[in-house]
Amino acid sequence: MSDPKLIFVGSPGVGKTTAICTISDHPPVSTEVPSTDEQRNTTVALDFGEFTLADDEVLRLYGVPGQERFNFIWPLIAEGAMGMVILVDNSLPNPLDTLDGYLDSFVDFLGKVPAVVAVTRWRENVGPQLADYVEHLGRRGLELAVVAMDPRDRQDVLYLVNMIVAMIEAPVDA
Amino acid sequence: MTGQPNPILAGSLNVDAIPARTGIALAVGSLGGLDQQVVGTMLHTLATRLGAQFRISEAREAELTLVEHASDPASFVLRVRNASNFSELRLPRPLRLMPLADALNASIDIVRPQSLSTPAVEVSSSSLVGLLCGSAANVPLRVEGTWGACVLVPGSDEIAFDRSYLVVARALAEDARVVGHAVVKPEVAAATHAAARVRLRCEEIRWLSGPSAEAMRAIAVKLSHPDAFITLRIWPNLARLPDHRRWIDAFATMQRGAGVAQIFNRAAAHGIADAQLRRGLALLFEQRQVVLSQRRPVPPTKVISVPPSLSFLQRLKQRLSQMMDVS
Repeated sequence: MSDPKLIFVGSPGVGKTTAICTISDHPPVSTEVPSTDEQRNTTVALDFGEFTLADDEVLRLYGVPGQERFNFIWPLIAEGAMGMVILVDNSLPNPLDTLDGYLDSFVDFLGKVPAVVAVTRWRENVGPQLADYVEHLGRRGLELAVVAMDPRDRQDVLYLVNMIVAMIEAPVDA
Repeated sequence: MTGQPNPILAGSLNVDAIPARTGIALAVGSLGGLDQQVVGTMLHTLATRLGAQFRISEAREAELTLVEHASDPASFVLRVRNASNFSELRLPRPLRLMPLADALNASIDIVRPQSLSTPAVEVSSSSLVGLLCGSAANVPLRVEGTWGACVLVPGSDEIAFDRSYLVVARALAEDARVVGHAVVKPEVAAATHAAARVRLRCEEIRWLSGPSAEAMRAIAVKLSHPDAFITLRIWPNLARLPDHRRWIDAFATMQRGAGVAQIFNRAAAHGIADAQLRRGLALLFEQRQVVLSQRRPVPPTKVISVPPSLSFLQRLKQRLSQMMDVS
């Protein structure tokens, strides 16, 4: 069986590479170069990092491209993942629409693994509130974890991974 | 004083965040007209670099008085009214900006000592949280309680404290009135922010402070229902609180949706006492992060396509724990 993996998806510049870099044991292998349609560096292929455990077991960390023109690669990478983190930049004009794009692409996958909607650049009373995300997901029949976080903060990223682990371990029969 | 580096002038401080004490009068009536103009211009130039607002007075004496030295024509003397413990400060002629700024800043606490002891805010610990996390949280405060004192510096995303986590936790959780002084020493605020020992977000501060009595009563009623069912809607981010790991499993259980008994059992297994759990649930309920219903919804089915082995999860948790400890 291949090594377990954790997938980070999200819009360009939302912090996927940063999140992986925060906890990866080595600098992530990133195809991060200036793209033609963005002012800043964005992931145009994917990022790859590793989180090594005892006995040299590895949790593989994948950052999945933000641009939709690469959406053919998303299911290939997501296959076999133990969890998914969808990063959404709340300062964007329509973050819920952005979220919809990822939900559409990963709809089958989301029903099978723990997933977290990690809202970045979130401020109280500015832009959609976390409850808006919950209600938006609910309208689509999804009950994903929603949390505000900062991908630059190592403790926040570790917290995210802990969330995924806890959701895997949570008893199914309530 | 005149030879000391001035942290205000070092540019490390946003002086707009420091509450200015307005209108300390500097009497220059004994000086010649040209000297008066020079001092006035200097005050204008130094306005953003002084820890208080000063104004020129044409009187011969005021709270602060600048006069020519009685026997040394190459010096001025800055005197402070009613200050038994403040000797006169001699300033060389011609006046220079830096020595004058140092002298004026040194005189502030002598001229207006009452401003140090007069509370800027006097609030309960719960309203302190409201103050910190509200829009008014823009000035550094020195907060005192029975647990001691700490300086806190609100920022855009977080609040920095100059004390250990335990002191901060007590400060926020104590059910007593606390007194907050606006920090009037700019260098204190700057140094505190730079060397903060604890930085917390408002969500974590609310978690430490605890729920209102009203929320505790409401949750007690809801939990007493035999069919009470709890679903977590929004995960708290408690990443910077040392004991957050104990809560994550309880949150995960709530995320999936669970009856009260199961959540209490799950929490107890992770060392969370019933009273702590009730407090946490009340806070989640108050913040609308959890929903309590009286009928069990159909739980979502999660079938992990390729579940990691239990041993892998144990090792992963162990590594995460190690990393959290060194963060």
